[in-house]
Amino acid sequence: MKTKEVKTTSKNHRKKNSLGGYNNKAYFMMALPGMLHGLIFCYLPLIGILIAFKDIDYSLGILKSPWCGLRNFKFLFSSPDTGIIFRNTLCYGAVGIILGAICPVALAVAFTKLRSKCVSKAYQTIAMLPYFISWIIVSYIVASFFDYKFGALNHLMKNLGREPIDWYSEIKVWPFLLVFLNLWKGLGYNAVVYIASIAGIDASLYEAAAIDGATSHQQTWYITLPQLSNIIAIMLIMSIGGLITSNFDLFYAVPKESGALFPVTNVINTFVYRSLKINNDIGMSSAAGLLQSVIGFILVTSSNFIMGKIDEDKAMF
Amino acid sequence: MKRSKRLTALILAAAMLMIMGLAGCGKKTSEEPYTIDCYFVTGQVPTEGAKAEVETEVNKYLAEKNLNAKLNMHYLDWGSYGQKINVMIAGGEKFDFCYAQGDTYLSNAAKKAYMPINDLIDKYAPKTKEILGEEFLKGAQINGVNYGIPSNKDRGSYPGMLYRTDIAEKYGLTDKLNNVKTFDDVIPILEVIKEKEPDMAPLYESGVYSVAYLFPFDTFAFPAGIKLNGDGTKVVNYVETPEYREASIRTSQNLKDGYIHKGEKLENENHFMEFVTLKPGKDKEVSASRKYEYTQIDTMGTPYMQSGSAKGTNMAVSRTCKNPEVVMQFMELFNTDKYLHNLIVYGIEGKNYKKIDENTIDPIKNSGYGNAGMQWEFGNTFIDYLTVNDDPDKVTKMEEFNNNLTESPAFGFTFDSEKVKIEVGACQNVQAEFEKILSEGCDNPEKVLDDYIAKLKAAGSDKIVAEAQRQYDEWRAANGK
Repeated sequence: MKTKEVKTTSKNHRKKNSLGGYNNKAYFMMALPGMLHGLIFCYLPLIGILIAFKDIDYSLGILKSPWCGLRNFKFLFSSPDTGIIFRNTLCYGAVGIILGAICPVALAVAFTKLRSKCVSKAYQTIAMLPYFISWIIVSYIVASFFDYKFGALNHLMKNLGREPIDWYSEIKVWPFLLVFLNLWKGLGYNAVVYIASIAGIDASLYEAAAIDGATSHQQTWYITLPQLSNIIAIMLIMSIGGLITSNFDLFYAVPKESGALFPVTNVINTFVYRSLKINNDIGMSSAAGLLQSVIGFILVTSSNFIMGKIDEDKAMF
Repeated sequence: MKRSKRLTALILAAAMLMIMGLAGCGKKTSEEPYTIDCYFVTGQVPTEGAKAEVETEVNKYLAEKNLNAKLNMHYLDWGSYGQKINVMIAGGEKFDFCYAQGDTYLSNAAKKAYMPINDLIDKYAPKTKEILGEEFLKGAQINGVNYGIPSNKDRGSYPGMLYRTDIAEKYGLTDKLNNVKTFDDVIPILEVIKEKEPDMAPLYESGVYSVAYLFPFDTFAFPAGIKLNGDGTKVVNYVETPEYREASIRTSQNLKDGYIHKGEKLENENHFMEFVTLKPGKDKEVSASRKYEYTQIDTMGTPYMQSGSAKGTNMAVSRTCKNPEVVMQFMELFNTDKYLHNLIVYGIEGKNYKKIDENTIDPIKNSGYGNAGMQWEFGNTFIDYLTVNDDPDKVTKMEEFNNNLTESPAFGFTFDSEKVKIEVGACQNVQAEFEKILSEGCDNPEKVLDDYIAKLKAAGSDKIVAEAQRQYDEWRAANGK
């Protein structure tokens, strides 16, 4: 009895239900937890956007607090550092996105080229490791190299008979170091998506290419990369949304609050944190968050639009 | 068929739950004791079991005293305390009172997170009011309103230094150290250490305290405040004062002269002297948490009661408190009843501490409850039992100290930063950028300081100073100063 029932349902998988739609109850049930999560944690809190335009008074609540127009946004633009923080945020963001699109793909291709599956898996695991280390711990690892008195680098300098350097006020080093750390930490994790997509490429394509005499290099260039281009485009569009929101932990914890490094480490997030740490003004912090979200939203939709213009398949929505 | 049965069962179960819930609500009458939810910060969060035992004892005692209330204590560690309380306040969660520290207290009071309790203090806590004194309670007010009850403890502080007791004795420097008045008197002593202990840093520089710290200044909102060594009428920019300039140059000279070892870490305790905020018995407190014994130098600064001294440590009553009358009655008991007070501070006798004599106890380690070292947080510290490490004359010394404090001309003044909050935020960023560089010492302090001042001006420091001056003048006129 039961087995028969199962069979019929699987046969009439796309039978129309009474509402005229397809009967996708099972799929819907699977999606439900995620949708609920989205609704509760992403859409309901949107009401909080109001806070950005209000002069909050806890005794009146969010809705009844007086409006204050765009005053909460002003602090972001009226500091002598405004130019620097926007420049830093955008530049680190852009470099991160470009390297984040190239390096993980290269790594994924390299991993899949390895003949021994065992070695490939081992490398993948090792590459994943940094992703799971907290930025705070990374900041101490960095300090163990760069600390003035106890760091490995200055010990080396001393042994070589050179003057020790105060790395935490050496502005030139940090842009590279921060970019490197950010890349290093996410590289293995981001490569996973590409490794999975490469595994999904039809093997007959490679076989045909090999019979036609294509070298391994040519196979990568003419088969793997074009097959990956859609997923690369999607990842790129998604990461562009984060252009204006930099990683707070990276820019706050790793440079150890060294004032001398502010010209290259102060980004919007750290600026907001330092401005409001004492004032603790939720109106102003919401304003900063909202501004970043709106800019991110515009960037995502416009880059998606541009991608769609270039190649319809590459647009996400 | 089966499905409909299950559905019925589900509906029935839901109905049962609702009825039970309603019944539960129905039972609540005015006779039910009011649960007082309070939040404390601590270095070591008590275990649930030990805390529950203390609460049971507290509740038994409250019932004996005919106070219709139950105490529900919540302890949070330093790392999560501020954020947790701010989230609770922003979310309008019900709690009755919490420990509130200076800046947070002011900013949350400005956003009306707390309840005005002036009348309630008069009505339900007259003894507490007497203990604290009219003037001190007034000093704790923000625009004439009390939102909480300040701790009764040392009411002021003074800048000074600590030195390693053993090293000072080794080189016979103790007498000299105990008579220094200014930092210039310290320099020859540092010179001795530099010569005799080449591996040790004669002076430790934390990046927070430096020579500038010895200059008495009452900050309203960084960088505006008044000089305590002047007549106290003019609000100035701290960073623009000649004293700050001189101190910054001196610090850099200290680095050049090799008194400060760049990159030295406090936890290594490889230094001879350091700057600290002092109160009577501070050296004992510091030594207890370190490897070596330290002694404090009391002769470098005058003990001041600053504008914010009375607002530093409070038990602030939340606006979400449902029964402030009962809470105030509890506060009165907590601040005046020696048994109840010590029960909450140290826990249960025999379980959490051993009693040595009538007024001295020895906390039992790892007993799961106890706030030794955090007594200052808990209201009236004058009725605390002393621990074995405390100075037996602690109470009399503290009283004497409080009686001899010099009051800042701005004592009781609260700066409302609402109008200049954008400038205050911007200046804080500038401070974070420059202050550490200057207080750790650098190659060209004058140039850095000039940049610092210029950037502060660009961030609106002059506007803060002007606004502070306006409010301060108004306050002085209103208070007849």
